[in-house]
Amino acid sequence: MRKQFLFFVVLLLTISILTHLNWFIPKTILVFGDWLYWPKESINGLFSWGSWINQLDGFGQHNIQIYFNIFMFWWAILIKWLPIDFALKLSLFVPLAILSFLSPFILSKKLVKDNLVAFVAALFYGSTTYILFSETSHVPIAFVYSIAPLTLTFFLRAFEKNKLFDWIIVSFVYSLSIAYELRMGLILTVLILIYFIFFNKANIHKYLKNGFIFSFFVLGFSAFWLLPTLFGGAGGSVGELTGRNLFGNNLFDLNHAFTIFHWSWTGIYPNQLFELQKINFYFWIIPLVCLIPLTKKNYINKNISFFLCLVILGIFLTKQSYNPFPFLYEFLYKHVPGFNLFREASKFYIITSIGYLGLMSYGLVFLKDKLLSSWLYKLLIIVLISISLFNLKPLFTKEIGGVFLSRSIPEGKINLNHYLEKQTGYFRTLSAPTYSRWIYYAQNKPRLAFVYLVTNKWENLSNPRVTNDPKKNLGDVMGSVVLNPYFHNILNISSIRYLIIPANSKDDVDDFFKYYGKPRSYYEQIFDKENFLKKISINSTEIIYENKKYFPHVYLTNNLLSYRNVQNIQPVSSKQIDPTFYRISVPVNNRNYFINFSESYNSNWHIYSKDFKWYKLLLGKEKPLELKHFQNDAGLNSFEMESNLNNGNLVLFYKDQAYFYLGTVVSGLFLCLFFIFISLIYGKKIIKQ
Amino acid sequence: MVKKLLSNKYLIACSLLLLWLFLSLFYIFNNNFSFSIISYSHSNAVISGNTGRLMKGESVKTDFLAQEDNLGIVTMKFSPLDKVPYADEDILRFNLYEYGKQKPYYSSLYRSGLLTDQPVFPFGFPRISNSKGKHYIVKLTSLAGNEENALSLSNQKPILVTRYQVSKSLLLSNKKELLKFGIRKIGLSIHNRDVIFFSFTYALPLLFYLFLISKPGEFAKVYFLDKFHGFTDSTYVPWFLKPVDKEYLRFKRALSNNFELLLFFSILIDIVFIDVVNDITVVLIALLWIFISKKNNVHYTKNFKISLFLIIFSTIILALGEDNIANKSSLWAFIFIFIGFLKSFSDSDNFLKK
Repeated sequence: MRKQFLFFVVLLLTISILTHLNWFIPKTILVFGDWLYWPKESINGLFSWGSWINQLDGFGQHNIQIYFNIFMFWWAILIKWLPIDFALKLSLFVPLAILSFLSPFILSKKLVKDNLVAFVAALFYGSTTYILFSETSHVPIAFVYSIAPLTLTFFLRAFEKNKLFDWIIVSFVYSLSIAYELRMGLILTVLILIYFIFFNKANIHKYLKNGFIFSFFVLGFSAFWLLPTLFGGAGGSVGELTGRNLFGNNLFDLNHAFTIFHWSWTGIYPNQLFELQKINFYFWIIPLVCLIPLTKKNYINKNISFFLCLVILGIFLTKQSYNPFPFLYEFLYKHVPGFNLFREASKFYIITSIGYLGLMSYGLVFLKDKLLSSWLYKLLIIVLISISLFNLKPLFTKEIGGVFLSRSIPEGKINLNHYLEKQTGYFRTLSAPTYSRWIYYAQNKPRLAFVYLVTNKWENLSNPRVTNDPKKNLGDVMGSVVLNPYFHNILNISSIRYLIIPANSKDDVDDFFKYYGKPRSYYEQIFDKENFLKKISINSTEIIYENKKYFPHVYLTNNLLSYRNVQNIQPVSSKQIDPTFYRISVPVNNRNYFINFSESYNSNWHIYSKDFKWYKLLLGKEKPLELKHFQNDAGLNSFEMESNLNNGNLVLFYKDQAYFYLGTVVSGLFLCLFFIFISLIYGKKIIKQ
Repeated sequence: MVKKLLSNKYLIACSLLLLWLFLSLFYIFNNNFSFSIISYSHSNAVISGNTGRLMKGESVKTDFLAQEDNLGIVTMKFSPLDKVPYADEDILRFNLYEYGKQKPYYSSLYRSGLLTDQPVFPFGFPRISNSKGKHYIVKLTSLAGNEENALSLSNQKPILVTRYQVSKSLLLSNKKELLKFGIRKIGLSIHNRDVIFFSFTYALPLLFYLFLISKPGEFAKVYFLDKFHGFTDSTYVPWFLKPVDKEYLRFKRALSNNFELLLFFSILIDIVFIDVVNDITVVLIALLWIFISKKNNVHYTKNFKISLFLIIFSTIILALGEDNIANKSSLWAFIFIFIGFLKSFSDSDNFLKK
């Protein structure tokens, strides 16, 4: 039995490696969709992914995904010795590839104690179209999807044995799941609550003590993201995201929900145009296999009922706004706290998948024992394995694309990246219409996308006649912004030194001109007309312009800054400790002046005296200087400095980061406690033996 | 008090009758986008030009006589077509002409993707206040139709429906107008297949209740034999009545014991013939099903058997390209799985009780 178990584990590992081959090769570069290219300098330092980040929006933004530090910390540590691509594979891709098959195998094995059935169920789970699609670009989501059955297994064990050791282990695995992707973690929490209601609600008193310790550890492990999220200023940023309308109602219906058929699934390269794809008939075999045993008397029991409940809930949610009750999803989205994190329903496929995983496991055992002859059962197993392997085929052949393909930085961009890397000081790059995925960026050289700015921060700079004309496209809007007489000023204020027009690319990760309605030459024409921009040649495929008069990151002006009225500026020496912490030196002045800081305005940026200590801030003993804080018309920060407060050296600090520092310390302590506890338990066991 | 009310058969029957009327009227008045819109089906509209798939440059034409003032929408039914990538979609020019005029009253372009998403597509245009009695021509021209993206009009009648927006303020200020409008709207709606079906499903609780409270044979006695007073006690029954009586009683018993069959047929009709989904119908049929299966001690596995049948049906139908029917079938399969799940908790072999 043990040999058989090992055989299936090895078989699953082999399938994992063969289907995700590029993930196991250290030198490959994996980039696609939401999965970015990360230059080493963009995650330099342990706190590069703190409360304020500029990797996504070059002007900086409040970080609502601070929990990504679960792998960002690792990267920051590992890249000191390893290449960045290898570091990120070790922390994310390799565990994902292995867990996507092994984790459902362990759950199914625990449920039915049949190795072959567990193998078939694991193959099904690891080859559902949703996880395969997520693996192509939404990697953290896929990670939680893959670890969820394992987490559930640990929970089942903890509920069964109710031992402190199991609860502490499960608190660690559960915290890990939440931290990789919060929304998926929330769904997982709901699953566990349903399980508890199903099986243990009558024995709640039995679990009180260990449940409390479990919660205590979960809070401790999660402190690094929980504290800044709860006590910081995440509300506004989260509100912006959750206030949006539902997305993709036309991409979901009941048939797709029943078959867990992701809208983009084509069997090869996923559809990227948001077009609902047709379901292949064999996808119905899984629901049928799960349903057939249910038609037999004396089959259903409490465990099966739990998984059936998950299937029903999963299908109902993943049909999104389709019939029946099409209004219900939107109602939940608008009125149930937390549900507004799910703008589209695909994340709920995890519920149906776990439901089918359980039903399939029990169902196959029942069919083998009670319903089917030996050869029919074997035939069914072969069919089920074939379906899974057929789904996995594009991974073997790499036709699926996405992060399954190894990419390489185009030659023409390498020169530009070297050039940008060599430049000193703080500046931004602005790419039109948007930046190439491969362009270099660092914490002191953030990148900006023109198309994003003209629809957000620079919306007022565009010509309303162009923006309101339905015949005009985004390319025209960008053109109208360049024609704005204040265009030069806004570039200066925004510390933009280089304007880049990326090369045309047929590569699926970098082919973007088609989306904005204008060819590459259009952008060249409009920038060529601007005298203040100097075209530079550095032997690159990109067209590069330099704006020599760009302003530094921090500088002084006599009056409140406005792009309509640019004054003489006085640079200030500043040193970045991390993206939330700057030490600046301002000259002694006998009159009021303004300190301008070219990051997106946020009221949590404050100026403190030079003796600033973040822990004193949390204790209420550190007060910021009482300055007037303005959002200038470029959407950036300006502080009015009174002459009597002028004392030379100051600290510019993003307040929420103090909670992040504290949370990190707490999480670190809990992690130490966890390892000490585990060592003690194992030590005891070894001594006993 | 509540118990007393619930034991009053007449009160319950009247309530269910009112429920039926209310739901039917509610559906009729909300059926056409809004209360004040009135629709006319033009089942006999003659289609000219290319009645098949519209290739580039080809047109299809139809005409109609406006039945009311304030014409604002013309809906046309298209045959289902697989969606093509956005860039490959056809572009259709919609022209509305008043008969005898060269210049179109309204002209606009539509991407074929919109029409594949919504097979019954409403072409809207500025309201024509004095449309009543005028003759109009609708012309659709393909600008980029090819083998992949070409659309065609459906074979299922009515292909053309015209919609008229009556002024809400006029209706609300003039009770007589409102009444006339209401009667007209009901009169027009009863020709609509969906309205008839949904109204029938709304009547199911009432029908079921009547069958529930009438003992076998009593119903027939009242409506058939009592008309021929004395026949019930007599050994002589006229030859022409006998078969009717027997058949009716047999039918009545069958229906009384197998009301679930009636529900199942309603579901099949809903799946195959009704294009839209009505949540009230879904809820009513589901509740009745739960009630009947409880009354008849139907084992919960029966629900799973039905859902299995419906899923197989859905698979076959989907392979044939009838997505709408397949989705409907899945919908009912889902409802039966849900009922089966709920019922498994309450059945005699319930695992939770053990």
